[in-house]
Amino acid sequence: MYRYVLKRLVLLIPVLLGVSFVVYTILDFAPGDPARLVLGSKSSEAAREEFREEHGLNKPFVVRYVSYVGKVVQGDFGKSYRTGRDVSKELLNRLPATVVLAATGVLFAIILSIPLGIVSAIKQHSAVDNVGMFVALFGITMPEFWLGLMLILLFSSFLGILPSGGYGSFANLILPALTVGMPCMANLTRVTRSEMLGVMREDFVRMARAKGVAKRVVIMKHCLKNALIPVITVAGLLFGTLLGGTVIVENVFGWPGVGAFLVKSITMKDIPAVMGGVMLLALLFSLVNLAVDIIYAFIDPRIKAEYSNRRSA
Amino acid sequence: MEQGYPELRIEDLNVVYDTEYGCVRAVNGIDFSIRKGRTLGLVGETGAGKTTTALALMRLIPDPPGRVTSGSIELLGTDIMSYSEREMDAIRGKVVSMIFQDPMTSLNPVFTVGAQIAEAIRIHKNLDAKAAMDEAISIMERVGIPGERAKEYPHQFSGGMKQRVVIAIALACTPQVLIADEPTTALDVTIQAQVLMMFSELSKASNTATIMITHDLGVVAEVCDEVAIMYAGEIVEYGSLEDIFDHYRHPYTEGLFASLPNLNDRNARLVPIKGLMPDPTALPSGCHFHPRCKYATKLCAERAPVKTVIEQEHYVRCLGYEEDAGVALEGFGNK
Repeated sequence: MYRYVLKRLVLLIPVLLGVSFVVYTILDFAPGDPARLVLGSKSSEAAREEFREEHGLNKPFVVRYVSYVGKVVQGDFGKSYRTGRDVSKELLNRLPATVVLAATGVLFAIILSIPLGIVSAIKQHSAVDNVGMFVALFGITMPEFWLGLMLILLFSSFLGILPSGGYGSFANLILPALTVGMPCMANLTRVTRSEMLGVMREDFVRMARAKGVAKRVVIMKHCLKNALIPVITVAGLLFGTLLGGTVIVENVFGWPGVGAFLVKSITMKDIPAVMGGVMLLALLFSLVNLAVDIIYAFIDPRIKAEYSNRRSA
Repeated sequence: MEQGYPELRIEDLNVVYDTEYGCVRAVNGIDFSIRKGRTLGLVGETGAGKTTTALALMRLIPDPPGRVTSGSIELLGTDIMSYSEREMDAIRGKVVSMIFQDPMTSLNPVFTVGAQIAEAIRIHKNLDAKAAMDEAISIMERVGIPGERAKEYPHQFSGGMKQRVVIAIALACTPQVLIADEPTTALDVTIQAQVLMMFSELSKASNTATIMITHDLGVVAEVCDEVAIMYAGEIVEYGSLEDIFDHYRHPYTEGLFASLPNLNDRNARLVPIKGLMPDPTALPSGCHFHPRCKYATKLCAERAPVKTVIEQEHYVRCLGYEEDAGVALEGFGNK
C-alpha cells in the first residue's frame, strides 16, 4: 500500500512536467505581447524592450522553457509581470480562499447528491425520482457563470438575503459554493442513482434479504458500500471540473482566490503567474485523484489486495 | 406415511410476472407439502418455474414485475401470505432459509465472510457482534472452512468454498425449512459431491425439511426422499424417490430419464426431449407438454389434464391416466 502511494507520488513528476510544457507552449504561441499588455499601449518602445530584456522574453522558446523548469525545481516560480511580487507568495495567499470554496462546493454536492440518488433509485419512476432527475439534468446543463448570475439576481437583487459578492463570512460563501457545486451535485446524483439501481439487482442483495436483513439496512449497508466505488471515482474526476468552475465563479462573485488571479493574469499574458496557477491546480487535481484511489482501498478489499500485490513497475 | 405434521404446505400457488411482452405465467397452481427431516426434490428444465417457486416461499419475488396471484403458503401451521414485511424479516433466515444458485455472486464483495455469516446470527439471536462472530466461526468450521478465514473476503475464496459460506449462512440459525436452489450447479463435479454430502449430513442432523431444486437427477437420487417433476410452472408428476425412479408414469419424466447416459449400456444413444420449453407468455392449450410429447393425441391439445393418483402420494398429470379420456400411451416404458 505505501509502496503504491509512493509510486503514484513519483509518477506525479512526469504528469506535472507534461502539464507545464503544454501550458507554456500554448501561452507562448498565443497572440499578445506581455510587454505591451503590462506596460500599456502608450508605453515607449524602449521601455517595452527593456521589459522584454529584463524578463528574458527575447530568448528562444526552448531556452526560456528549460530555464523556467530549472527554477521551478528549485522552488522559484518567478515574479509576476503584473504585480512584481513572487508568484508563489501571490498563489499561497489566495489558495485558502479557493480551497474553502472548492471544499464547500464538494461537500454540498456530496451531502445532497448521495441521499437524492438513493431515494431516486429506491423510488424509481416515482415523482421524487422524476423531480430529482430533472434537477440533475438542469444542474448538468447550466453553465456556471449563468447560474451564478441567476442566483445573484434571485437571492441578492430580489430577495436581498445573501450578498452578491465579497469574502469573509459564511453568508459570502453560500452562493459561490452553490454555483461551483451544482454541476458536481447533479452528476453525482445521476451516478449514485444508476449505481444503486445496478447493485440492488445483485444476487448478494437478495441473499441478504433471505437472511432476514431488513430492506432499509440492505440498502444503506449492503448496496451503498458497493455503489460508492464508482460514485467516488466520478467525484474525483468532477473535482477537476469543479476547479475549472472556481476559475469562473471567483470572477462572478469577486472571490479572491487562485481562479480570479489566474483570469487576470491570462488577460495580461503574465506568463509566470499563469504557469504557477495552472501548476498549482494540476497538482491539487492529481492529489485529489490519488486520495480517491486510496479511499477505494478502504471500501473495496479487492482493490486493496491489488495495490499490495503489485510487484513490478 | 402420516407421521409428523408438515413443516411447509403449499396450496394452489400461482405466480405471474407482468412484462411488456405480456403476462408470464411462471408458476401455475402448485401444491406440495414437506415434513421434518425430509427432502423434496423439485426437478425441471430451465424456466420450469423452480426458482420462482422458491422465491415465492421466501416472499422474495421482485414486485413489480412479479405477483403471487393466489395460493397459500403454510409455514409451521400458519399462513405467511398475509405477513407484513417486518414479520417476514423475522422468519427469513431463521425459520426458512435459502441457498442460492450462484455462490460467485451471492456473497457481498465488500464484507468479510465472517461478518456475512454473523449478520444473520446477530439479527435473529439478538447477540452482540463479538458473540455472533464467535458463533459464525464455529459454523464455518462445521461446514469445513478453517475459522481463521472468517476475516477474509469472498474474492479470496474458491467457488466451492464460497458455496460452503453460503450454506453456512443458510444454516446459521438452524432453520426448520431450507430451500436449496441448485446449490451445486455452479461447482466443479469433484466439489459437487463433497458439498452435497456435507449439505445432506447437516440438514439430516438438524432434522430440517429441505427443498432441493435441481435439474440433475443424479443429485435427486443422492439426497431426496420425494420428487416433484415440474414443467411449465406445474408439477406433472409427484411421488417418492422410488416411485419416480422406478415407476415413473409421465411422458416428460420418461423423457428426462431417456436423456441421461446409461452406465450399463454405453453404446445406447441419448434420446433428447424434442423442442424447447414453451413460451410462458403463451402456454400451449390443453396439456402444456403436448407439443413435445411423443404420445400426444388430438385431445391433449384441448383438454388440460388433472391430478390422477397412481397410489398413495404418487400422482401424475397426464390424460393417459384419466380413464374417461381414452388416451393410450402406446409403447410407454420401452426404450
